[in-house]
Amino acid sequence: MKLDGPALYAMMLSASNALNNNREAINNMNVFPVPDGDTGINMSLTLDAVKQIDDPSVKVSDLSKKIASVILRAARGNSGAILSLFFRGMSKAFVDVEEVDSADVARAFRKGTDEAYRAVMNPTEGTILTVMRKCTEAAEQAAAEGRFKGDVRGMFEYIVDIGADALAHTPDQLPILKEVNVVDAGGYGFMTALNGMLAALNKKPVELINTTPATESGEADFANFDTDSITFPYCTECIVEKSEEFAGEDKAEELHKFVGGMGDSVVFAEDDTIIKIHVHTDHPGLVLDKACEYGMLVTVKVENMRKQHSALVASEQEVKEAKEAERAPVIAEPVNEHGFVSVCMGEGVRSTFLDLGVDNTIFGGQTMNPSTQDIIDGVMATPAKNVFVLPNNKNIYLVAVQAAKLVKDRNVIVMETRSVPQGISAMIAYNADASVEENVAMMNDAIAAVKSISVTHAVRDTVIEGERIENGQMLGMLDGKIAHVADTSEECIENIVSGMTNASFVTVFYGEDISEDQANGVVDIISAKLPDAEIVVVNGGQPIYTYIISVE
Amino acid sequence: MFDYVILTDSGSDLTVEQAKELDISLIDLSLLVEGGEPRKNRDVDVKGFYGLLREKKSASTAAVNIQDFLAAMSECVDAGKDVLYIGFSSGLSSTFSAGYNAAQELAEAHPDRKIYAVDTLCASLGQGLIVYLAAKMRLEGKSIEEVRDFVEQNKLNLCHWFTVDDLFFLKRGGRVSAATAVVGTMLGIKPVMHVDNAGKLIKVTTARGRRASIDALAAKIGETGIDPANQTMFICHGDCIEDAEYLAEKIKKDYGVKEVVIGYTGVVIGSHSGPGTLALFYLGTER
Repeated sequence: MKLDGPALYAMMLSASNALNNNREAINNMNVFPVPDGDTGINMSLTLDAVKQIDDPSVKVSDLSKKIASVILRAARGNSGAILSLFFRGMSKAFVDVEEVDSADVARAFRKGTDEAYRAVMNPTEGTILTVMRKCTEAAEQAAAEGRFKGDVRGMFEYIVDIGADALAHTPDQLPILKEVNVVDAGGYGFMTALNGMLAALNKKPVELINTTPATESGEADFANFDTDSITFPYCTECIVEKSEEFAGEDKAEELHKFVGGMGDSVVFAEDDTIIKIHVHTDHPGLVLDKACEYGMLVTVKVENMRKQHSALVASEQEVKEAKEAERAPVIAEPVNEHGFVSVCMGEGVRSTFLDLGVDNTIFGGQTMNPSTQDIIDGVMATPAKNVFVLPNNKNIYLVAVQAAKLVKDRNVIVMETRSVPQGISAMIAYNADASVEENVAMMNDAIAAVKSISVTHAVRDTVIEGERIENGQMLGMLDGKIAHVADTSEECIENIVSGMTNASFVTVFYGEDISEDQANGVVDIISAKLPDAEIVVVNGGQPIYTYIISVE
Repeated sequence: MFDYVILTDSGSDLTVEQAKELDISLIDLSLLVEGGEPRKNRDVDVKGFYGLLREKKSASTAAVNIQDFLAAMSECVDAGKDVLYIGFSSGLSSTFSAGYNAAQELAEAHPDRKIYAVDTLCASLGQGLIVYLAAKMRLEGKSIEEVRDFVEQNKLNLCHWFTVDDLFFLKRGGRVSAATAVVGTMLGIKPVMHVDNAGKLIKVTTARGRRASIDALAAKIGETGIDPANQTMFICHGDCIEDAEYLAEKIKKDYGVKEVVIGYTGVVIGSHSGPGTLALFYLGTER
């Protein structure tokens, strides 16, 4: 039995459904109990892109090109990126092929595996990569021995057997897996996809049974939130550069009062040259008109919060449509020399990046990895010839690198920022007068000088390095590794900073559920441990992490 | 008694006492503080001036005009002396241009006298340091031409590195944008700046926090300093003597700097950089 276009498409669709059906199970295999169990979602959303293909009844070569292209752009997270690269490699092997036989399958696995390995700088064994490689080696050997000649189904069945065995052995290669008694989540996802493909070959393709939309994270939270409770729908923000008449401090009290009467969530800041307004209102136009009386508008942003929220609880299809509308291709003329795109979550963190000169931010972080296409869009909306991308998370870096390769008409530089503090430090080090190379060097120095602490809560019971972690306990992470577990954020922070010396500057970004008073309590703890350090506190407003702290 | 006068302006931040000690003439720029009368530089109490700045009073300085230069230079010429004017960066003030024009005019009227003007492209105690070195050479018996050529040849080796504590003043002078000043203040970003080869103040890099910014000044000696152990280096401060002393200690310890002279950042630069300005000056391979 050989394979034609429609049959290949059926396999991909079946693989995509299989991943979708199993995504919760894959999420839960995540090794760390930090709330970033998103491997299943990322892989599922990546393969989901095959549904965008409207006409699968074409030649295998054309179809696989199409598959590679849509999957590559939809890739999210590390496992998603690796999966997309695997299929991209596969599709390259199918160029000039009309019908696939089992030798082609072996070649395709080899090409896919090579592409995936190449993209990962330090390949770790005992992961999805190992499973891919073992499958490939078995397929190649079978092909060399002349087994399964025209029998693609038989070949696939054999590969899946080998893969299942390789997956079962991942805990022997990666001690952390053994410790928490799971197999590698990415490898499991890969095998889920292969099983889906095999099912299609067996004429029993996997149907989609998982009907809850993949809203990626925090579904329950958003769904429980009642749209009607948004009284004033328009989030309106602007910065006014004051005219002569209003120069000086406290000259715009009347404007403050006016804005206060227009809605709620008012933030009004004034110094002697600018006014910054934030208000949720029914009448953004009136607010802006009034603001204009005090000088020139420098920046304006109006967002409909009801729509944003509806989009979050909408069905999968609606999410897609909303995203596409939002994505109405904004392509900015590359007029500037340098531009910046930063991935972040939390209004305070976001506005800090914007104030530091970032052109565009992409919503995303630990539990919500943006896709390749999201990053490409962010880059294209940035009016610069050279665009620096700050992924600010290790799980987003690979996808950002992939996006950089897909952008042809501007130079994209992906900085290896693994945390928000690193991203901020990179921005601070940036010098508009220096060349791209000089800036990369300066930013890398700044990134290397930062230690990042983050605190979040454990989402399940587990044991790591012999230590019991209970659901709900706080996890203090230092540069991405669990450094201390305790009942409160404060204890975690105190313990981690105790081990630090020679710190001169500390920035504390406190999360959306933390009050200013609580944050100041943390400052007292830090200053007791690091008496020589200067400490600043920023309302980061980030979800998931109670605190993100940089120490330099 | 020397047969030529070294004249400098108060952009050099040398005090009247230091000028007397080095036997040089000092001509004053004027200071205008919001709601006050213009005053000659030497009549201003520097500590009080920083007090006014802390109240966010705005201050500006007025350049020396050509008349004042003509008067000062004529006095020397009438006393039968040549004149070497070592002036404040033309990138920051029109003072040098006035001094240069006065020198030209006087030289035409007195073809027998040597009247030279050198644009140091330096500021504050950077200019002060090169004037100090010039005065030392004169003491060693060097001619007016030798001293003039020394200043010309070394002025671009006079490194100025400084940092400020409060971005408000740079923002007011239009040197950083309002938005940058707000976020910079919030995040404790301290600019590390210098005076470039065109004699202008530019931001080169940034540091997180005050101590890091001061350490960054010291580290510049490691990058460009020529034989630091045998140099006299100048530090000036905008009413933050403890920071100046910390820096002095640090460069003595890290680089074995022979001698450090600490002074105030005067009103000319201080008006723009504010209290908490800290600057380091030394001879290096390049600015």
